[in-house]
Amino acid sequence: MIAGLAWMLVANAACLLGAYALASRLSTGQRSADLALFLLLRFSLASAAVLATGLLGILTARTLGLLGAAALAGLLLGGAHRTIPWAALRGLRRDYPALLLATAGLVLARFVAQAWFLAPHDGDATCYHLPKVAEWVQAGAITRETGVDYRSPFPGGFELFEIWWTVFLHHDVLVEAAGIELWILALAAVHALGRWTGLSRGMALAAGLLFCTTPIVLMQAVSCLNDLPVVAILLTSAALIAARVQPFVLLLPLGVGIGVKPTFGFALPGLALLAFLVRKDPPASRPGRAAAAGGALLGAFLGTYWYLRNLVLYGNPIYPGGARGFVLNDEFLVQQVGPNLVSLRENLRRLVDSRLYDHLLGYNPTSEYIAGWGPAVFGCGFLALLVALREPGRLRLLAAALAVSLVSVLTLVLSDRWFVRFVLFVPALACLALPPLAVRIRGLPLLLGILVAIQFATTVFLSRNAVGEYPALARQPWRKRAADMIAGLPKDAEPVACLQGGGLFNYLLYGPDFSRRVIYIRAGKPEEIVAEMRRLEVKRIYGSRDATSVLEEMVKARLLKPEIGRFYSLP
Amino acid sequence: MTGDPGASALPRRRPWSRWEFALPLMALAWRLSWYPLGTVWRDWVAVLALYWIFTILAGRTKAWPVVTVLVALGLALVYLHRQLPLSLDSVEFGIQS
Repeated sequence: MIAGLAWMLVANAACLLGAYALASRLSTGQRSADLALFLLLRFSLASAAVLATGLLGILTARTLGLLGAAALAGLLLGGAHRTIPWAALRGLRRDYPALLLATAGLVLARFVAQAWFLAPHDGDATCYHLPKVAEWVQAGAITRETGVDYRSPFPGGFELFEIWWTVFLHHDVLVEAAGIELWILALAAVHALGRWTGLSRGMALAAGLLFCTTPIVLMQAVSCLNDLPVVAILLTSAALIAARVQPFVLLLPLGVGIGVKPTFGFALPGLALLAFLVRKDPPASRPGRAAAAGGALLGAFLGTYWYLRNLVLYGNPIYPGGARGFVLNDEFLVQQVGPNLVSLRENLRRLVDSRLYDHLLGYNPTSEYIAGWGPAVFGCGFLALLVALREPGRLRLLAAALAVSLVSVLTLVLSDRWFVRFVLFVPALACLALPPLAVRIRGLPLLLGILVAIQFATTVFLSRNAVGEYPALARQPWRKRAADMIAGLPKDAEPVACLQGGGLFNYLLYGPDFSRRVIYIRAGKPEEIVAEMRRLEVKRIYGSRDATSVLEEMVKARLLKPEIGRFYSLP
Repeated sequence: MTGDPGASALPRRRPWSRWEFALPLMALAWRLSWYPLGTVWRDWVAVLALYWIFTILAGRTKAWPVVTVLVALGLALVYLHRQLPLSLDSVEFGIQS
């Protein structure tokens, strides 16, 4: 563990300094946009290191640590550290109001506590995001295995960064740190956009904090989900477009974003409009050709890998999507493929008439039946946006661009229970409009402060279903800390089989230190399942609720005997 | 829009166009055709449309900042009235278990 911690520190130092060196060469000439670019590069370099070593089958703490040490030595010898703007860091207290810095510190302190005391428990994360992390950390390689959930072949750009935060300790205790870093990127991106729209530094930070304390953003940051990363990268892309970086440099955020989730691509028409609207602004300083090519290649590597992988493995880059959309069991449309005006109408209607009120379900990180934009945006944000848009200014350009992105995304996604999380960038607009109004109208800052405090307090528990788990989670020793959502989970590290479908929490089968091997069984008939278990020498099998009928049938035929919960074993 | 704290709280004086006036009126008509008159006060689109009309007509009056805060407070209460019980319910659930 100590060695892993040391490798983690070295690799992170190398990654941060490498990102800084590259960001210096790609500099836009605007400090706030450069900060967002640096954070994006940090995310990209770490992800690329995981992907490259994973593809080579050398994804271990030691390899990443040694590579990090070599890179760090090279960077230090090259003098990359000499230009770090320490003075700017020291000047934070001069440039920004203490109240805002304290708020940011408070949120970060809460995140650190959540990352430490909580364990992954959101259904989406534990059924199809994190099984990839567990499989690949266990294997020390990016293997074909991604789990048996029907969504497991989806792009895993964010999962790479979660691996970065788990591979060194071979444990998931810090996995939430990945989302927290993307929260910081979102804050930096809104700050950069605020500066571009003409806000003072303090107001730009206030706008960023207002966005980053909306309930859905606070919850997404520590839930191991990839919607906040998408919006953070999208807003960073917007900030870089607004800063008029060279088109080649834009390949970095665009590639990275598309590799995290296809919904990033759905919002691109808005970014294209923004690029058109600012085309006459003075361009950012021209980066070095090698640095620009390096950034573009990094983006292309991280963006195209998942689609090429699906093309090779399944003959379809957007697998499991197809011409009819993404259809489960030949009947249930999980997600559409391509535009649909009926979806647009339904999504808009539901967003305006229902989801924004957040009244159908408590706050939850997947936006189920809610928007999660919170009372500050609902009560003050829209109103401020209305006032701001009556005046000419750059916010209008951004609003036009994000409105196109909104329509584009809502046309391309099914109107399901969770669609609002795909348009999480919209409240950023309202948050950018709020600070200028708040400083002019007496009483509004107080109201905003109260509403943000309510948002902070009411999002401590990440989902209603998991609330009861919290004290139990916090009491567990950190090495064994895991959500207790699978009854009858064996205490030892004996391998278990997991039947096709996987269930909502199959990631928890691995254990927090990935010590248990999980063998996925894709056979459907009872005899085949037993034969597969015998061939793989695994005695115990776990099946989700969907597999109940098959497993009960096997019990009746005495092929399996029931154990606790959804576990069954060979007789 | 630099947000200079010393600047006037009021929107800039400018002649309003009939198009700007038409937009909130259309929004209001849409919502009135959708919701019964008795419940339209808690529809955020209708409230913002009315506020927009008020801003066009009275954006330079001393009443505007006061109305702005009241509208914001009203919308926040509309939101919290239905959302807060759900959040409190979650906390209560946690304590009980």
